[in-house]
Amino acid sequence: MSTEHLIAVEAFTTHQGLETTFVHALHDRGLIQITVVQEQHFLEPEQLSRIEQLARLHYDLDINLEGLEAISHLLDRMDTADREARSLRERLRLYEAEADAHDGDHRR
Amino acid sequence: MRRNTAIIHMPTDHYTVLGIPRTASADEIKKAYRKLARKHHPDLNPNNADAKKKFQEINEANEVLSDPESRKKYDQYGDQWKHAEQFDQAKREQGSRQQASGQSGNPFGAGGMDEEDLFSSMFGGRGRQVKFRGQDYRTELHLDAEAAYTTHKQTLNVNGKPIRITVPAGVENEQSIRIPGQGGPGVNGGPNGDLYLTFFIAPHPRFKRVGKDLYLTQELDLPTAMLGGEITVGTMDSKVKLKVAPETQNGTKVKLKGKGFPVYKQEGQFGDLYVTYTVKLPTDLSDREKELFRELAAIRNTASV
Repeated sequence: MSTEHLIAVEAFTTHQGLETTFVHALHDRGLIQITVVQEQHFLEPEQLSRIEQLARLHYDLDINLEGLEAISHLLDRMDTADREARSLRERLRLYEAEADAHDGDHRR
Repeated sequence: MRRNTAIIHMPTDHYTVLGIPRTASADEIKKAYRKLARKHHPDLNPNNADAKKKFQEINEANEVLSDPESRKKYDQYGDQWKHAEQFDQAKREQGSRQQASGQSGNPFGAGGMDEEDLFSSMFGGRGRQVKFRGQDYRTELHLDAEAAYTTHKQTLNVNGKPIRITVPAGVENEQSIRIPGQGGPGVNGGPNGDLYLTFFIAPHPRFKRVGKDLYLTQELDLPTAMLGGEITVGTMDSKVKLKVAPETQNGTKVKLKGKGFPVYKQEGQFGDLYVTYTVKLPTDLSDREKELFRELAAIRNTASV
């Protein structure tokens, strides 16, 4: 497996001024994925913004790991709910347009 | 002109924003800030413009009040403290202010777009001095339905830099995509940040879109509905001839397979087009027409007896 696009956990945490234990704690709680290649720990690039987000919540807002876990689940659920609401809104627009058309028919 | 500026620059008192008295201690400021930030932080309120605006106010208030120097100036000059500061350049050079505003040591790089701007000014000075990956940018692209129907190239201007992207046919309203490496430049050999692009698709004037399917309401005149016939219906990219069955009822739905919207990233695949017939009943009947309807009614009455 090519590690070209992967970022070593160590390199990321050093440059971000984070503790490596923080990243591993996020992984232990299933909040992020760590890729292991030849016993070395790496991060996929798309994981980075999630880690940065969780780091902001942890270090700047003083939210502990248990809190991060709860927030992560809620954010995921919000995302799902947003998608569902969007598709329902589209469907509702359709039915409202149909209802309007019928309403127009009745008035005529 | 004067009135306009007054409205735009209506200052919000930093103490009021944080809900603290002017005598508040540094610790009280920090507590008040964190309490409000936990509620309005953009990470906790994705896609919520109101929360973002509120957080900007809270953040600005905290930035000013948490630094003793700038707080002192703010207390003295109010909202104009930054201007007052310009008279006092010598002091400014000493560096205390620079540290407080987070211009150095910010992990997200300078410049950038709205949300990132917010973070870059907020999270400075926390000790993550050496930058690694460039900041993520976020932007919007507004398209009409026709543009979303076909795969096409588009040039975006992100932070003054033109970025050429391919918009795949079938993108959905409010769908976000990540374009790797098109965010802010990485530092010290780190990778570039990503560009997150959210599409906003304007509704089509004729078709209603639900995912990959399209819905259309088509009027039929009474004779065609009763006796059947042939009509031409415009689809997104062509016209189709439809046979209308005799005695077609109002509200009848017809499915035109593959005449809907392209399926996102599945080339050559399309959703369906649903056509709902509404029968248009005639108005302004002439005497002759009324006579014929009466005759028609009489025939049906006799038939049903």
